[in-house]
Amino acid sequence: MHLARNGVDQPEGDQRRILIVGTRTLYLQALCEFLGTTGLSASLLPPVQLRDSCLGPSPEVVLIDCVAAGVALEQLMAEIGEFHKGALIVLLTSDAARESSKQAAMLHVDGWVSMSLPVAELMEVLDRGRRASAARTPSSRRPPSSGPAIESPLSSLSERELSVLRLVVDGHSADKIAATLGISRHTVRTHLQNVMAKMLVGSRMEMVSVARKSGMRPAPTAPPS
Amino acid sequence: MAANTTTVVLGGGMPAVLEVLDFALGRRPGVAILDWDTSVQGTVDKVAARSPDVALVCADLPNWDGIKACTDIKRLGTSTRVIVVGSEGDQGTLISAVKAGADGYVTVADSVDDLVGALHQVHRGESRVPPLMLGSLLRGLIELRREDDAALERFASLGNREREVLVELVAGLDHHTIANKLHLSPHTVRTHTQNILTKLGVHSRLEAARFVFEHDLFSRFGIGDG
Repeated sequence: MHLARNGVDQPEGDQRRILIVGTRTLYLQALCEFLGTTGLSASLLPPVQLRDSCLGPSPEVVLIDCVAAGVALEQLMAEIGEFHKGALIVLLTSDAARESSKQAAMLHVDGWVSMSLPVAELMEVLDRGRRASAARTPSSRRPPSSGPAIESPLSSLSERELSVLRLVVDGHSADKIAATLGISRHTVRTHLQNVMAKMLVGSRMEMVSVARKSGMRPAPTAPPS
Repeated sequence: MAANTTTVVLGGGMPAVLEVLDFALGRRPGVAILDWDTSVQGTVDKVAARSPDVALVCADLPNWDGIKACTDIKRLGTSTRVIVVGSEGDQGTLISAVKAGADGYVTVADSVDDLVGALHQVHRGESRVPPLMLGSLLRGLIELRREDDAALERFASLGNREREVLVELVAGLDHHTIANKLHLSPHTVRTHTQNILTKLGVHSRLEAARFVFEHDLFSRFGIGDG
């Protein structure tokens, strides 16, 4: 078993690097030590010291604890974007609910993992995200439409619901959507209601806003159905 | 198991938190994690079954009542000591923890090694409160004590008949039933009730009941259920 000391100064071969940002030292340090035994190199940093982390090699994944007391998450995101371009940014949340995915979308992060999962599942989600991130060119900002690597607010939607949502994002009316997809207006409305419930939004405007923030862009052509 | 090893059962609402704590604490010499559980009842049961030196319960995680876990573990009457983990600077949780009988308090901003120190400390029989929080804890407890003294004073000002009426009121009886039971006229019961509310400094019978429970007045004054 690999028991490396966690630290920024431990780049070793192809060791995968995770930077954890947060103030709940007790839990996050324990998490770091745990990740350290799985072949990952994890280090912990309080949000106020984020600037220091740009000295070391850039991490593949930045894991941000939602309970990052003292610093606004938005500001934190901006700093991470500045110092660690190309890193996969993941929120560490305290609940498995959709509220987290919405928060993730609002903050433009790549995904979220929950402390309420068993740690093996948490690892799996991180690993999936990590592999997706390795496929990207490190210097370019992630293309948001490359599909959610981790849990995205859109991941719970069915294909059909996604099609409807795409058309709404394109700015089409319910009538137009019905005609495009060859379904009744009533069905469109049902789909939209379900989408809104799944995305935990209260209006179509908010739905479009969250969809765009999770990477959905107006499509040039009608989606396949 | 070595004599200087501290055995621990963990309790908290989040599996990942407990698993990584289990791992991080377990690899440190002198600490042995016996078990962990993500439900309050499960944690209390495991503490009862395993009799660890220390039970560590998180009180900062959503959907999980660490204070209740602490209270219930203390009610077991075993020698297990309890450490509560709370948010940094969360005075309310610290006071609740102390009232629930906690032997130690650790904040999530502390390091794993701080926690290990705290585990050994309470195992030795010491108490552990973050030094920075000690001053306000004492002030908070003194304030609580003052309120409690005031409550006792108010309760003591009730006459015998008023106390009898209060017991029935708190039991949920209406004026007529109380009148029959105590051989009084309903009118007299009303007058007693008014005086009780005034003396206790509350505005309704519901508040009076809360006042009684909050300060545990009946059992402290040896007043039974009837």
